[in-house]
Amino acid sequence: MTLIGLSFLRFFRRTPWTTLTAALGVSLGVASTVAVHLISLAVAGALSTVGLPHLQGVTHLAEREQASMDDYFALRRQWRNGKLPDVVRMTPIVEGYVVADGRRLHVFGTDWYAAPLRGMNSGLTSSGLTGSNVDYQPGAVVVDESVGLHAGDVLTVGANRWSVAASVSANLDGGVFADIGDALQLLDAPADRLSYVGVQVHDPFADLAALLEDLLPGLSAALPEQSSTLADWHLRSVAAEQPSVQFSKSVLFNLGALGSLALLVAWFLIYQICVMWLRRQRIVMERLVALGVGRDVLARYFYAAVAALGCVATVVGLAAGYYLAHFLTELSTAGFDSVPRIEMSVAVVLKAAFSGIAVALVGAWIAFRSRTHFFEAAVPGRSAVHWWLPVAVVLFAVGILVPQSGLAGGFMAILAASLVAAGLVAPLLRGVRQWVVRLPGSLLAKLAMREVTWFESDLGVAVGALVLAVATSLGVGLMIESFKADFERMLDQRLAHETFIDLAGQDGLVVAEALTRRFPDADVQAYGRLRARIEGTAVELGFTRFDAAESARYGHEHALAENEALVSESLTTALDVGVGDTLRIAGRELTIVHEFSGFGDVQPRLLVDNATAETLYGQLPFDRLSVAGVPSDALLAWFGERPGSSPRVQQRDAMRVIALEIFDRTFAITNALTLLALLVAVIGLYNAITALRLNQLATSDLLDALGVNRSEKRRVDLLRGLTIGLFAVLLALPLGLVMGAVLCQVINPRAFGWSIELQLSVPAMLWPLGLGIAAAVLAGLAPTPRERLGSG
Amino acid sequence: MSAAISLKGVSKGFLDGERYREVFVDFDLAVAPGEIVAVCGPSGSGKSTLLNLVAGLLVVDGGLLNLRHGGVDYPLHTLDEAARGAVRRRLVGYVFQFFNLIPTLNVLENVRFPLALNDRDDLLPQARERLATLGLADRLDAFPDQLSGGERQRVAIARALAHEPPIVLADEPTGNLDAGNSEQVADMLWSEVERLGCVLLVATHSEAIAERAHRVVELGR
Repeated sequence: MTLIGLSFLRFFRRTPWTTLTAALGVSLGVASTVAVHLISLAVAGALSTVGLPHLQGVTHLAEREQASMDDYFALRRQWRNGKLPDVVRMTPIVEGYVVADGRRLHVFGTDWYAAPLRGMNSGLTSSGLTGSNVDYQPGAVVVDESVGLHAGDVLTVGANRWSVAASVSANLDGGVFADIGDALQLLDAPADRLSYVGVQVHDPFADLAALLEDLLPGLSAALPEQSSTLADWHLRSVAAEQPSVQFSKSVLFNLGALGSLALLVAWFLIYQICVMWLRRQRIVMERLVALGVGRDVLARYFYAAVAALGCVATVVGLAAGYYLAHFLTELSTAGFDSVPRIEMSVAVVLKAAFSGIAVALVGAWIAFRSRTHFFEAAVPGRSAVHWWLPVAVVLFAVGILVPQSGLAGGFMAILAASLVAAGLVAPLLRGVRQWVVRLPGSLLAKLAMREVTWFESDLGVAVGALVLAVATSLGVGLMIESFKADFERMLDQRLAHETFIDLAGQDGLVVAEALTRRFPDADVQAYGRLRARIEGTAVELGFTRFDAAESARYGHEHALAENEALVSESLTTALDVGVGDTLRIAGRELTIVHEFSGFGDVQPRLLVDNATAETLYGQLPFDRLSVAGVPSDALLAWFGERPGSSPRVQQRDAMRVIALEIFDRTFAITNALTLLALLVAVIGLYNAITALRLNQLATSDLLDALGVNRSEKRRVDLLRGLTIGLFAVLLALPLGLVMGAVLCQVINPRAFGWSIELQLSVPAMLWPLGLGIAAAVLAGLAPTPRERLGSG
Repeated sequence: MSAAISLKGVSKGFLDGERYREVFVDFDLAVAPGEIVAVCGPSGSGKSTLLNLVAGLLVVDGGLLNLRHGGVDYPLHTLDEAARGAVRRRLVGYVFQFFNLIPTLNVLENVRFPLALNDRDDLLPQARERLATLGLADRLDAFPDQLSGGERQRVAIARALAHEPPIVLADEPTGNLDAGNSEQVADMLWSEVERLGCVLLVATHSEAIAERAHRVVELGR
């Protein structure tokens, strides 16, 4: 029986071009997946070094109105009595602000001394501690590196001094972490104060979730957040405490989904090639069945042969993916100081193997099941639209209309729409046949156009793949162009001042005063920000002098009055509020007067006038300035003469250029991945056209006999390619528009908290559509390899 | 009278696996205008090869192959592929045993095809008339897969004669048909060829077809 397997392998060898293109398509699909995964691992590795020390091991935060330590102990008693079986451990946490040396510190206190906190400490080393394990020492604190202190330094707050036990990369500006008793003292707070309770909830699927996160980096950010209760407490996932991590994971998931596109297109390709192979081998297999070989045996050896091809493609794809990851990383980070390090891992190898072999096997399996009706007349083109059409429509609707489906729901909707469009290609080709027959034109033109609709079984899948690739390119392109337009509008508003200065720890008010003394004509404005909570949600509170000009930077026409606030779109989404609603913060109510776009913000933002901020938090930290009326050279010279750390001085125009450059680089990987998918689609289309030509050799010979010359045949090839391209882009256009709309209005709000106004940019549409047509024409004009059709 | 088709000292061979096999060695044939010649012989004797050489689809390895029409010689042995194709398109009508029709064109379009290639749409009325004569007047819009085997061969004949070429080549034109259809198709082919005064070179295994020819050329292996 191994002879049968050998026969298939020899057949592959005798059709080298088809075999090569099949392997190349799968390799590119694997390479795309591998490259994105390697980049994701590098980014995830960088993210894992960023962590909040007081939340190590904590999975949820438990909150309630006016919580006190008594409430905590009541909860703890319930846990100790076995009434909260899912809770593994819990710890009280206090959070607050204190000003030291003009700098606002964000203080977190937890039960450092208690045994569970030692468990947390064990995670600190990996989360950026410069020292190793840090045990509790009375009067010690751990600080974020932004504070500028190191182990052994002293932190002075008022009359008290605290020794710094370690410095961590918590990505929390001014973060100070201490035992709860020390924190209360730092904050000068009453002993029964409690902000919330850190809880570790047992998750039976934690290992599975970790495995899935390994396979699909960023998946956790894509799944809907589970909100639940614990006794009388509201439980919230701890992920919201690290919005930058969630933000990055969302980016990774977006990239991962796009990286899988080439693999999906490769699946179309391998299916179509398997159909071609099976058709060519049909007579041989029928003879074998007549000799007594079972259909299942034939299937087994066919799958084994295709899997062998998948293995080869996987190895090539793995190597190509490694280099592609380097290339894409360099493309998107050229000129940056910190470049993620690309390293191969076992998980990547396993994923590549799974991707390549599974794609090959699934393609072979579907092809064998649907195309091997031995001893029956050729199965007429059956409708490719089956039961899954309504299912896909329902999935699309759920993904779009149900916000709880999360980022994954948005991508599910895109996948469902894509499969519907791809599945409709063959039926539509059959459906338009009667219209194509009526089209005017020369007989050669008619011949070319009709072949596309006549032989939809040869072309349908490949055209579907092209539709998918072009639509994705179009949808992503529209989203990027729309995003860029909104982003530029935002820059036009925000970059209203000539010069912006990041003071790198210096007191903004002191610097502003000195600056005004030195340059009396200068218009100086100080900005500050701090972390706050609204209904338990961590937000960034920004403050400055909000006159009408400053409000205009956010699209609001009036100066901000006391207790009025501007909020970012991500905040209105997170808290389900809108203009006119009120927000309760630090015991006061603020009225939302305007919502602004906060592209690039990693967490919800709330902006108030200085007067409002002072009533909320007292003394305010200002860390940035905007300056008008002073040449930047003079400013730099002035700062150079001052003692202390050097501030970062940026000009408006330069900032705009840099912002747009970063924007373009951000999407460089996206564009590269869509082009890769398009390349796989073109390979598939070329294969399909080759199959069509090989199946129509008799017609070709007939044209020769009729005296049709080479240039006329090329014209037929050209017109055929053009017809395929036009058909593909006609289908890709609505699908691409749907994708663009979903990306702008569903995916972006769910992933990043901002929506984008979809703008039908003509260049953004013409480029992928033109590329699709050009690709189809190119595939149509490429020479046909003369492969031997017989069996090995 | 000069021959419409003239082969002098023609040689032609093929690689058959590892072995080179000579089909024609110093082969001579002259076919006069209006002559109907049957080419007979066992399988592999070179019947189809001869027709393909005359059509310019194959090139002689040696010797001379000339077509003559309207006082002009067309030495195929000296012409390149494009020139041979141009000669074929104008001077030759070809009827095959199988796969005679372009599947995506209907009956009328298949017959119009050589007219369009030769810019001879002026012959369309005659082509339509011929289709009617061949009993296909009500099948003009039908596509090849909607026709019977006999109907397909009749369309193939109509197409081969549409541009009224001086030479018609027919490779086993009835080989795929039952006896009744065979007879009918042969009658129609002969009738139209004689009416137009073309040369007909017909490769056949059929004695009945051979007997209808003015002359029989027997090829041996």
